[in-house]
Formats: sequence, C-alpha cells, structure tokens
Amino acid sequence: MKIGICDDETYIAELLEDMIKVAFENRNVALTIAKYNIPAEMFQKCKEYDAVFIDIDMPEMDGIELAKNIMRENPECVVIMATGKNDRYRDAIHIKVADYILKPYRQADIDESVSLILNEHIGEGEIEVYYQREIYKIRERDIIYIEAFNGYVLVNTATTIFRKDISLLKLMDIIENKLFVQISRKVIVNMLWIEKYICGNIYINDKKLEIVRPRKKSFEKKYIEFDLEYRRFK
Amino acid sequence: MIYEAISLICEITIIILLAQIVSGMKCRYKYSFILILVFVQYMIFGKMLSGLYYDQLLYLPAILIAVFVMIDDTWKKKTEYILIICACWMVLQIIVYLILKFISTNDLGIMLETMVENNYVSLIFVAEIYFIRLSNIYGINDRSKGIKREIIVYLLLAFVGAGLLLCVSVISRASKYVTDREYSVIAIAVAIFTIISLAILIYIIFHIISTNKSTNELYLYQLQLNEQQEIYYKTLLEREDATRKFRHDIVNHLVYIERKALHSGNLEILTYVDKLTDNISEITHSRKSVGNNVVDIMMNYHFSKLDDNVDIEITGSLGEDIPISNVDLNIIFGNLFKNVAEGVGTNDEKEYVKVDFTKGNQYLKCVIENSISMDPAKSRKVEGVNMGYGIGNIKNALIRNNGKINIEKDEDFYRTTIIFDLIKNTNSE
Repeated sequence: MKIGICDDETYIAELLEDMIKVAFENRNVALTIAKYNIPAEMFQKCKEYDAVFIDIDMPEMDGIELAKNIMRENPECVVIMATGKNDRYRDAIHIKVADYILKPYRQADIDESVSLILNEHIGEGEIEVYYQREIYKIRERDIIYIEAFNGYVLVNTATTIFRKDISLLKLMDIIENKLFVQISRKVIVNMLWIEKYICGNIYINDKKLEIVRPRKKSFEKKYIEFDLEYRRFK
Repeated sequence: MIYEAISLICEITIIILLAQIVSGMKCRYKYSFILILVFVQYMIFGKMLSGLYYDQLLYLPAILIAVFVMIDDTWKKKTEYILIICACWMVLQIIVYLILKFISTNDLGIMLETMVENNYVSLIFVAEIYFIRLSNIYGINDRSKGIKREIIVYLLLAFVGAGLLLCVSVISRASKYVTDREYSVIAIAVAIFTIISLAILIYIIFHIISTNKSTNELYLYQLQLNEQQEIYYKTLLEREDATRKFRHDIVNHLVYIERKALHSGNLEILTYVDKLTDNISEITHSRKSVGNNVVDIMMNYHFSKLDDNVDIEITGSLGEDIPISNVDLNIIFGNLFKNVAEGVGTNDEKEYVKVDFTKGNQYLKCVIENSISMDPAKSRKVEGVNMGYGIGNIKNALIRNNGKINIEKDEDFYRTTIIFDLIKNTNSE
C-alpha cells in the first residue's frame, strides 16, 4: 500500500509517518510512505497512492483544493484531511473526504483512519479464472456477481464473463466473505457494485436482481453493515 | 340619481379603504377605472329602475364586483372580508341612521338624504384614518420620514379641528333660523360635546407626539448600542481567530520540541510536552459538529445544559446533503438529544454521552449512547404536560423518512440506534 503525506511542516509529516507505521503494525500490509512539503509535487504523483493525508493550511495551495484535485484525478484514492483547525471541518465534509483528523494527532484517530483506508481497499485479493481457455487473474473487487451451474461458475465483471470450474460453496471459502453476499441458491453478489436496494431487488448497472425471500433478512442485515462499514462518504 | 351614484362610489371607496386599514389588503389601483364604469352604469340603468327601487339591485352587485376586482388577495379572503366588514359597516350605518332619525323629525326622504350625507362624512372619516395609518403616527423606525410625519399629524389635527368647529358653527347658525326649542337645545349640546371632543383629541394627538419623541430617543440609543455591540463582537471574533491561529502554531512548535526531545532522549521534556499537547488536544478535539446545521444546533443547545463533568464524544459526520427535511431532523434529533440531556446520569462511573454518525452509500446510521443511573432521584428529567410525546414524534418522523429505531437499555447505559434508508427516501420524495 502506498500512502502520501503532504504538510508544509516537515516534523509534523515525520510524526504522522511514525504514527501511521504504528497503526499498520500487525496488519500484514506492505507499506510505503512518501512525504511532501509542496502540494503540487504530491498532485503530480497522486495516481500512485492508495491514500493521502493532507494538511489544510499550506502556503502554496489550500489543502481542500488539493484534496478536490486528487479526488478528481484518482477517485480510488482515500483522502484524509489532517489539520489543527476545527473550523475547516465543514469544508472537508462538503467535498466528501474520507476522514478528518485534528492536530495534535492522537494514535486512536490515526488507527481509525488506517482502518478506513484498509476498508476502502477491500477485495484486493485475486482469483484465477478462465476466458476462452486462457487463464486470467482478476481482483475480487472487480467481480460484479457470480452465477453457479453444474460444477462450474460464471464470474461476471464489467466487461467480460469468466468461467471457473469450482462449486459455489468451495468458491465462497476462497473469496473475501465480507465482500460477497448470497442472494439465491445459485447467485452471489459483490456488495461494492450494488447501486441500490429497494423492496427485495438490487440494482447493478441497470440490471435488476431479485433476492429470494428466505435470504432477504440476512441480506439486509449484511448489506447495511457493509454499506456503513465499507462505503462511507461516497 | 347623481347623488346616489356618487354615494355608491363613496361606499365602494370606503370598503376598499377599510380593507386596507383593517385587513392590510392591497388595492389594485390600475383597476380604478371600474369606479367610472360603475358610476356610468348606475347613472344609465339606475334611472330606469329607480321608480321601482330596483336600483338597490344594482347597488349591491356593483359594490361587490368593484371590491372583488380592486382588492388584491385570494378569493377566500376577499369573500370573508366582504361578508364580515361589509356586514359590520352596514350595521354601523343603520345605527347612525337610527340615531339621526331619533334627532330628526322627517321620514323616508330624509333617511335617503341622510344616508347620502353619511357616505360623504363616512368617506372623510375613513380616509382620515387611512392617511393617519399611512403617516405611521405610531411608527418610530422610519427616521427619514420623521419630519414629514410630524407635519402630516399637525395638518390632520388642524383639519379635524376645523371640521368640528365648522360643524359647531353651522349648527349654531342654523339654530337662529329654527324656532324649535328642542333643536336649539340639541344644537347647544352638540356644540359643547364637540368642543370637549376636540380638546380630548388635541390632548391625545400631543400625547402621541411626545411619546413618539421619547420612543425615538430610545430608538436612537438602541441603534448606538447595536453599533457598539457589533464592534465588540467583531473584536471578539478577531481575538478568537488570533487565539486559534496561535494555538495552531503552538501545536506545531510543541510537536517540534517533542520530536527533538525524542531524538535526544530527554524524557523529562518529553513528558512535559506530552502533557501540554494532551491539554491542547482536549480543547481541539472537543468538537460538537457533525457538519449539518440543524443537528449541530440541536446538539449544542441540549448538550450545553450538561454539567462540565459529563464526557461528550461526537464522532462521524452527517453533512448537509441528505434527503431528510430540516423539520424532521429537528423533530428526531431535537427529541433524542433532549432525552439524552435529561436522562444522562451515573451510578458510580463517569457520566458520558456518545454520538456517532456513519453515512454509507445507501444508509445513514446514528448511535446515541449515554450513561444512566438506576437512582431516579439523579435523573434530570422534568415532568410536565408534554412528557411522553418525544418518542412518538420521533417514530412518526422516522416512518416518513424510511428510518428505523432500535433502543437498548441496561443498568448503566441507554443506547438509541437509528438507521435511515437514504435511497428509498430520495425515491419517495
């Protein structure tokens, strides 16, 4: 995971770096942290980062402005505002940043921000699938839904339908359970792709999938938890 | 017939002026030409129907049509006004007629003439009140028109005085030509009554003017005070801003010192600075905002009543961009925070209140938890007439907004969880 820190005060950036490293301990994630004093430099490389911590009050560019630009260039990047000013809170909320931490930094706040970053990058694991007899590796988060047939499954992504010779039950042991939910005996759906859920139907890219009645309650519970945990500030 | 037509116009004008005085309705002067139309049609058709008293059939509809067209308001209000005010006005006219009939010895012919005269007099009377209202004799806010207003007041006073004196002199003169003793007595009584009324009127006018003057002075003082307060608050804001900037900078300095102490291994300085940053951290992190105006106002208002020893923790954010009306937000969170502020207590541990907002793509969750005490004597709840309506109102507002509430309670805490389906709410709007 690549994280960027932008603060005009070098020692503040160093402190934040140390605290982020502490937060990532015991999380089994390879981590790279880069520090910047100049906002423009960070913006040039913003597409490389999975998450950025930005100070709001910087002489060359307002942190809110930098955050907006980064969110536009790299929508998947998790933006966290880090500042000593409580009164810019509303500005940060208005542009829908992922989180807002106040100086002096508290380790608990950094831990929470790191959890948020990891949640945003759920489904980075890969699975092997086939398409026209060729093997491909696709990220779990790119799977929209999986449909089971006799001894094999069809893995639907945005562009292609892949195949994997495995039963649905065994597949569910391999993939990230937090990401997928079973809506019927033969179909499991990636909750990241659900646009909305209304009256027993889920809507994904103009496609409507019905949830069978016995699974409705458990789906609702799991989907609400997932939405609040993994899709905040969208 | 011309007198009846003029009387009709006067009647219409009186009713329109009364509408403006009593109900504050506006007049559409661009339709004033309708008065000319009414006058002409009454002159033409009234003459044809006068022998049969059918001119009365033209009288009322003409008034109604003219009033409906010229007054600017909803049909319902216009109808209400016509029914109530006109009815009152007609009753007043009948009373005046009966009084005059009691004084006069003539019959129906005089009644009609009296009604015509009444309309002239009534119009002058109503117009006077209308202009007094326009001159804003009680008004103190419009200082730029102050001088103009005083002149109008004196002019009106002069006009009223002259009119009354004219009446008195006319009645006195007329009494010389009348040998009827009863008439002479009444004329003298009217003269005395008029002079006394005039004196009272002059006193009232001067009283109003002097009250206005002192009120105006108070108003000037108030304006000055407002100006001074504004300057004072601006200064306070500037100082607060400067304090915030200072605190922001001092945090950076403390962090720098902390890093240096860490690198040099100076534990004493490190501990000292740690404590300083903890204190500042407490101030900085004491946020009572979730990014939504309505909820912030409710939260700060109700939680401001809590004692200083209550730990308040607000986390998460709500933002302004949610499909729930401000009124419903007020109902839901106003009641919830009020219940929390009244219900927070403790058995032995510290009192606390925790509020957390989490917003996902489709759902919004709010968890409000507070410590409670098993001892009812420690409750801050105030028993009153409106007790018990809170949860009911919350539930109704939640139903409107596709929300669900779950309440958990134990010996030492009370937790309310609310979840809104924002997409369902948007679709149902």
